[in-house]
Amino acid sequence: MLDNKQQNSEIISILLDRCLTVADRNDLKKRILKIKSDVYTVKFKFEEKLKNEVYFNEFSGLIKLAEKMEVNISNKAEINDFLIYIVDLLDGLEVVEIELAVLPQQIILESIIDWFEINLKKRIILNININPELIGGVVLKLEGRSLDYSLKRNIEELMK
Amino acid sequence: MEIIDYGYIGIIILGLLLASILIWQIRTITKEKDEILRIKRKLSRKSDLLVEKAHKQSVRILQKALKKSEEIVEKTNSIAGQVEDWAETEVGKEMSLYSGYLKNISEEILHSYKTLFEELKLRYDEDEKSFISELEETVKESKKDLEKSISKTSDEVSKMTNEFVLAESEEISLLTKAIADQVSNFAKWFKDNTIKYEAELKVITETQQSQLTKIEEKNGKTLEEINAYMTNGIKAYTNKLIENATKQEAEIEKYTQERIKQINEDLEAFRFQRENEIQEQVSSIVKKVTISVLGKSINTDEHQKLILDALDRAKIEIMK
Repeated sequence: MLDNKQQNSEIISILLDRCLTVADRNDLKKRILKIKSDVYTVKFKFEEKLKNEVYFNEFSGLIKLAEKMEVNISNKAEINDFLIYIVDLLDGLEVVEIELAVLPQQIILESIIDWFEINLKKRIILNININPELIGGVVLKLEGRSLDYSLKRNIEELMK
Repeated sequence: MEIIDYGYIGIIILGLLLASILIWQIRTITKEKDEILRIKRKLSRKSDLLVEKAHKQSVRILQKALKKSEEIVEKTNSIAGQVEDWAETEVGKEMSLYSGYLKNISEEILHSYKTLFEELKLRYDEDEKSFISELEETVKESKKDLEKSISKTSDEVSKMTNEFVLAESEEISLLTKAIADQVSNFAKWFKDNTIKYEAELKVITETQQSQLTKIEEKNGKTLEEINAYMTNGIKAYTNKLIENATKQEAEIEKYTQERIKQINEDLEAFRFQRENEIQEQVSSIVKKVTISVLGKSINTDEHQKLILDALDRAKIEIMK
């Protein structure tokens, strides 16, 4: 029933369009699990339930993915499995911790996510911490390493 | 096996016995040393007491002799004074008595003359010539009698005076002789006693000198031993002190070096810490200034550019 993740990356990208941070991921996961919890109820209707629980791009993404994965939306068991797949997908997203000097706007977060997708071919989500002392730039915590590219560090280097 | 054991026990007992004897000997020597010191102190005290006693005795004898001399001189003076007074008083009294006696006689003679002259004058009136001649004869006779009487009286007085003076002189002479004898006896007694006391004093001094010499000889020997013992002890103690001092000096030197090293290290650490603190303070100030300057001047686009530039730079690190 399920295809591999690489083939569905474009659809997943649409699904995760609004999912930029860990908080976004957790919110989406919460809504997916709520839908899943209602799958076996008498009045459950997949599309109707999705419309009520998720954003439009997420709805489109999930429907397209379900179609692509040939999920029978009339079959509650398949829907349940599809939703479990989505939850696993969300849990499997790589988390990159970043430290910024100011609270970032949406466009900055999207730029960072895009940068990772373009350069590292990874769809990641961000765990953001705000530290005004950095002045500007970013500190990344990736794969157990801390990479400081902040203006603060630049100034400290100059001060030495 | 038993023979060996007995042998060991015997050796141990013998060893213990020898150790006991050694300890006993040491204790005996210590006691004897203490006894010698005690005797030395006792003899020293005794010799001091003897010297003091002899000195006091000498002083007492001399004081006694001086007092006696003073008494003799006083007594002699007193006797001489008495004799002189007595002589003056008694002779004067007798002389005065005799003078009075002579005066009375002279007055009686004069009174007789006057009476006679008046009688003669009366008779002259009656029988002037015969009476004058008789009177002249009578006067002559009377004069002769008077001269005789005066001569006789003078002789008597002279004789009596001479007798008295002679008698008194003898008495004075006897008295003076007696006093002289007394003085002589006392002088002799004083001389004898002085010689006797001098001899006694000499004997005492010689005895003391002899005792002192003996004590000195005995003490000298003991003192030499003590001196040698003390010298050795002091030398050993001094050597030990020098050794300890050298050791302590080395320890102090070592400790000082360690302390200097430690202090230098502490100073270096403190300097490094202070430099870091100052650096941090400077950095903090610069950062605050930079934040206040840059934080306000960086807009969203610039932040985005900075972040993307940072990510581009991070790419190299991430790709490694």
